[in-house]
Amino acid sequence: MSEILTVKGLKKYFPIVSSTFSRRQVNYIKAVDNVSFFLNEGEILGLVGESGSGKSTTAYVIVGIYSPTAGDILFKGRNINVVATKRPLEVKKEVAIVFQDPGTSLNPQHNIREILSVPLKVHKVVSKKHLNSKIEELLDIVELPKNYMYKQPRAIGGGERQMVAIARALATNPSLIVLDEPTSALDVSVQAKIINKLLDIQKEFQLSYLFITHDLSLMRNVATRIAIMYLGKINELAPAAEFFQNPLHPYTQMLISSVPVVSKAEESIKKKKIISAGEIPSSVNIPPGCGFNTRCPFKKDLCFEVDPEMVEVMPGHYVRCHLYQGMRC
Amino acid sequence: MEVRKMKMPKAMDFSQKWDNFKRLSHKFSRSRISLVGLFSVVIIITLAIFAPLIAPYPEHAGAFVDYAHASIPPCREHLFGTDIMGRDVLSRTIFALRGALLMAIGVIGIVTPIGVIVGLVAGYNSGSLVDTILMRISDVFLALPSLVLALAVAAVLRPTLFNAMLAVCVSWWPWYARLTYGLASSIRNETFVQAAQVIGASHFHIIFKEVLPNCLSSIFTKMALDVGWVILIGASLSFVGLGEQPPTPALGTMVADGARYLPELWWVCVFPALVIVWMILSFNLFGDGVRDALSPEEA
Amino acid sequence: MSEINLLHIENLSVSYRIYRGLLKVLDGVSLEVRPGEKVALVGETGCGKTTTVKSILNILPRQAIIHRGKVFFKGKDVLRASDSDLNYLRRRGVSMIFQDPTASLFPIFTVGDQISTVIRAALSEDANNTQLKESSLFETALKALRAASLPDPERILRSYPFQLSGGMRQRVCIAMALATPRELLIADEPTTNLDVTIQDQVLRLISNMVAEKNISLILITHSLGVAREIADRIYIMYAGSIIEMSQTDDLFENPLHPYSRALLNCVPKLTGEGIGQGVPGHLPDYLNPPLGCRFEPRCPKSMPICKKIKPSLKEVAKGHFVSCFLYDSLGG
Repeated sequence: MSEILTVKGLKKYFPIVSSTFSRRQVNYIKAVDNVSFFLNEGEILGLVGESGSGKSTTAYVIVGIYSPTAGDILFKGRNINVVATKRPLEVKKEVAIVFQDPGTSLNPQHNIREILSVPLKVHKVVSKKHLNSKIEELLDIVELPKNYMYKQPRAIGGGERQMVAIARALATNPSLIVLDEPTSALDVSVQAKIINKLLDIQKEFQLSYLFITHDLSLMRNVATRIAIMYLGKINELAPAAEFFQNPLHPYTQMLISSVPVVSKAEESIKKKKIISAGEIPSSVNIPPGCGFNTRCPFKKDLCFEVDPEMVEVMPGHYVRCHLYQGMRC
Repeated sequence: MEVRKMKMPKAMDFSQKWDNFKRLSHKFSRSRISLVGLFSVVIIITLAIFAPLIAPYPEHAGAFVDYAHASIPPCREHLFGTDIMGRDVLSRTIFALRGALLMAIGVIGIVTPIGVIVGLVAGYNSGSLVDTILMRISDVFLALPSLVLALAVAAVLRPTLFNAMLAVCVSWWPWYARLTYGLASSIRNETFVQAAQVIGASHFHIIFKEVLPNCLSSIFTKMALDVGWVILIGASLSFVGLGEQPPTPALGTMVADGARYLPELWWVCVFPALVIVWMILSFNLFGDGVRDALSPEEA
Repeated sequence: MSEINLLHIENLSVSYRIYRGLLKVLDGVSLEVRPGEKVALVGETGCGKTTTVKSILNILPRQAIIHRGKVFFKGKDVLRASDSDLNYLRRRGVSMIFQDPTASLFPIFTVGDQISTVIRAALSEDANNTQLKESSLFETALKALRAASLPDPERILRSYPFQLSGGMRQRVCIAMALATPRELLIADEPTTNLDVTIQDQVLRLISNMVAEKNISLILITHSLGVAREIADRIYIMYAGSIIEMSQTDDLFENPLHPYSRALLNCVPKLTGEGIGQGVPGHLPDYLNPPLGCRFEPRCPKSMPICKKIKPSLKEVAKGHFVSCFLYDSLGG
């Protein structure tokens, strides 16, 4: 299996300007701070985190909405660490994104046909004559009726809108789709439909997904591997089954034990109950040492001085915590 | 088969538009007073277009003198009376609507595209040098009171309707630039614009196909509300003699001329003045209705 | 029966007037809450949860029309109550926490100002407590914040809402809701905008405070998991009707209504057994809702009778009510 996407030492700092006049940068919001991971072809990598963890910023940097402060983004071996407007057209054709809220990611003034024809025209996927039939084909993939072509986004339901957004992402036959919380604004019954559709599409078209979400139980059912982000850094990364059987980082354990569940079988997975406490600190004043030291029940003096390094404790299972620094495999 | 395929979507497109139209007209007509405005506006436009057919004495609109019938107060033959040269005030007022409307259409027609394009370009590049240059220029124009600026420009040029129009345009376009700038600079951060950027759409596409359609409802509202104010400023210019020249009737000129014979010949001044008030009021009521209809809030 | 219920909603039907006609949102909702009980009302977007809650406080918008039904709070009909009764209800009887703590706190007053306003209003209902000292007001506010386990309550009293994080704001709202004695707390999606670790803390806080003060709770939520964490009893709502009601454990072990089953099946599970197929179709159009069961058009087990007659909520096992013709033969 080859890597379709490799992210190395990715940083995205947003400067905080002291005043409008002097434009002196007094500080940074370290939204993404030295993040590295890779995504294999045909894989679904779940990037999980709470708000303020930098997971969406990571997604935005990868698709080129923001330019990275430092680091490399290798897409099929080609470095694309610039904003979308500076990327070659053929890369933009291959990397698509589905946003969280289809209410704002689809232009409210356009009808579905106009929305779907944008990528088709920009990348000259089909000739003008076949535009309508291609759009019908796309609507067919996401199981929307053909007569939706001339409807406006506000005339259809939230789930259907997200299906349109997915169809738009598929329009250029991409190989990587970044999914930025595609179902968090939707009800569970709609989420189920969308997720199942996304999984079908992934198999059918051999796609790779980078799935950004805050929902751990969703990732359990979707992702091949899961990475947990906290304050702009990845704290733990492991294959999905391993991740839930053997969560190592105290933050991962806290997250898993906080998830509300609906069956007794699930409760047995939440065995290592770590009572959730505290809140994610602001990413402007990140505490020295490990970012999680304000909430960690196992904190030592070392955690306040040195930021731990990512260690591979088992093949494919990485964790960034002082508790496991000696367990390098 | 092929024919049916082509036709079906078209029909749907139309039914969607018809639906939109029905929704808009419902929202517009929720307020009775906007309907009054719409009705008045229709009357004003009809009067202006068919002035030669409607006015009782169309020949009085030009250079016409009939001292025998001068200074008649309002009566059955002359509903608004006649002026000191014996011309029917009603007929002249109806003809003066043409100039006033032409002024409004001309000014808004020239000002909107200029202001909107400047605003779009500056707003889409907000924070850049282009933004600074364009918006500071418009600020300079905004800093001068529009009537004073228009007076100055009109005074330099030869006094004609067209030059008065130009004078108003100079002071009016920055309002459209400002409005569009504000809208565009916030819309460009919307997710659907980012989506278009990620897809690789051109700047031209993003500005005119993604951003502009979302500005239109505010722009249309401003246009509808502005008609009354442009008419007022046009009347002010002709009041001081910088608009349409006699003998062509202009509302401002008629008020100015009549004012000299107040209070004895009150009708010469008061009726054109009331017509100015009526026009501005109707267009503002109509504009309010347009704003209600285009506001995003659901019915 | 009704004397032991703190709150009793009886066959409530509410519509909204819009330009295309009447949106028949609530269709005969019945619900009861006993003293000290924690009840959850679960349903998806647009099922009428919020309308139900608003009718409890009699704060329905102007366009709402109440066709029939009664809402009894301690035996008094809220929908036909006098202003002074309503004041009592809102100041001493029921308090509410909303989904968005940012929107429910006033941005230009400090937390302390806002809490003391609430306390003052509540105490003004007490005849013998008219002369209220500002110092005791401050003490009560401080105590309320401390009870909501907010760190450094003195500082928070002086802060403006924007200076607090989302989780802290929701705690402030909880503190405010329970600063004075109440009998019923309504929490409308209190954790929807919060992160999962904060949600866990806030749910625990609500649960503890409700238990400590021995008051009743109605939790409105779209999440079955959240309802399961907190509630003793769960109502499941679909398209303006209660379709199933039972004790929490019973419901999750043995859901009966086809909608409840499908819904539970859709929830992603930590055990990773895959996600159910979802519920086909849409919510019905409230302008022209189906004559019979409102779930019938989406129901995999639809029968001819479902199209014609609306099933009523019947007890099919002890304490387990369901409104579905599939279980008609079991009806007691």
